[in-house]
Amino acid sequence: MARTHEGHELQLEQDIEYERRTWIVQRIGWAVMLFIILAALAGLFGSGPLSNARTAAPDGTLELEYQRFGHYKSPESLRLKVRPNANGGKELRIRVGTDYLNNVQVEQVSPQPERTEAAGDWITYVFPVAKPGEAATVTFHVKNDKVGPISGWVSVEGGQRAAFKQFVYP
Amino acid sequence: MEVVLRGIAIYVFLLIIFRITGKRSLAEITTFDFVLLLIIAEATQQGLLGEDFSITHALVLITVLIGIDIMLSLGKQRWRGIERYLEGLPLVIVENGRPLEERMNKSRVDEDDILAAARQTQGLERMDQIKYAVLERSGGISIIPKE
Repeated sequence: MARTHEGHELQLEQDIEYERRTWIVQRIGWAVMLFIILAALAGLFGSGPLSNARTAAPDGTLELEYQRFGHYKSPESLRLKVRPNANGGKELRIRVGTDYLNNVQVEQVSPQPERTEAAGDWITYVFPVAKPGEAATVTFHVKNDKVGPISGWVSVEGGQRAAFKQFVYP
Repeated sequence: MEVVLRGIAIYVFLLIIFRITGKRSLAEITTFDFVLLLIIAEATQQGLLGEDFSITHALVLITVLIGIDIMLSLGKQRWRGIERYLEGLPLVIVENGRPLEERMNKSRVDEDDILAAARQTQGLERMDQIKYAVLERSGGISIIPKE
């Protein structure tokens, strides 16, 4: 490593080659920072076009809006839109897989379920229905309790499952 | 366990980002820089503490941060080479009254900064009275006047 003393009498360690490399690394670093900002605007780190996602049960009984990217211990929501044809009886019965529920903390469900029933590898949320045969929306407000990839599913009882995958940042 | 990881992650991230920003990042503390520093501190604090507001958590966290600091300074004494990567090196930016343009541009220092430092520290009036100006690792500019 060449240490350039360019004729000055200062007692200091100067290394212009090292300095040049530092400048290059710094400029790369700035580019990375710009990329991070743009990615954050796009929603790569949560809440943005890249993060907003929707899926539906294959039989069309249910549509689900969720976030692809979440943050640890941060609130987020799952919005379930139940199609009219799936909402026939006096009560609306929504199933949520326990593997998902184990990874989150359900803060609030709106509307409030009348009761919940544990069964097998899911929990059934039972909601009273005002007008049978009309579309209904149910929102789960949750907080992520686990870092990393998580997956889950929801369904209307008797219908097919809408599966989803999320990634939770620390 | 989590608190240790949080502490290390934040420490390393801050170290990298301030090295990337360059020597001058927050060197000359203007009022605005000071406010910016407070906001950074506030944003960092949330990530460091999370939802655990216990004293134990705070004490462990402080121990982790100071501990990393001590380890790095021990490392610096042991291996002289790593100091430059952690803190950078000083750089001569004026030699015998002649500003070294490329170095100044790349380090984001302009002549006004040098003249301001010359006035404040040495009471000098003009560039040609400066023998050397050095951009120190701390980000400050030290001035050696001509005799």
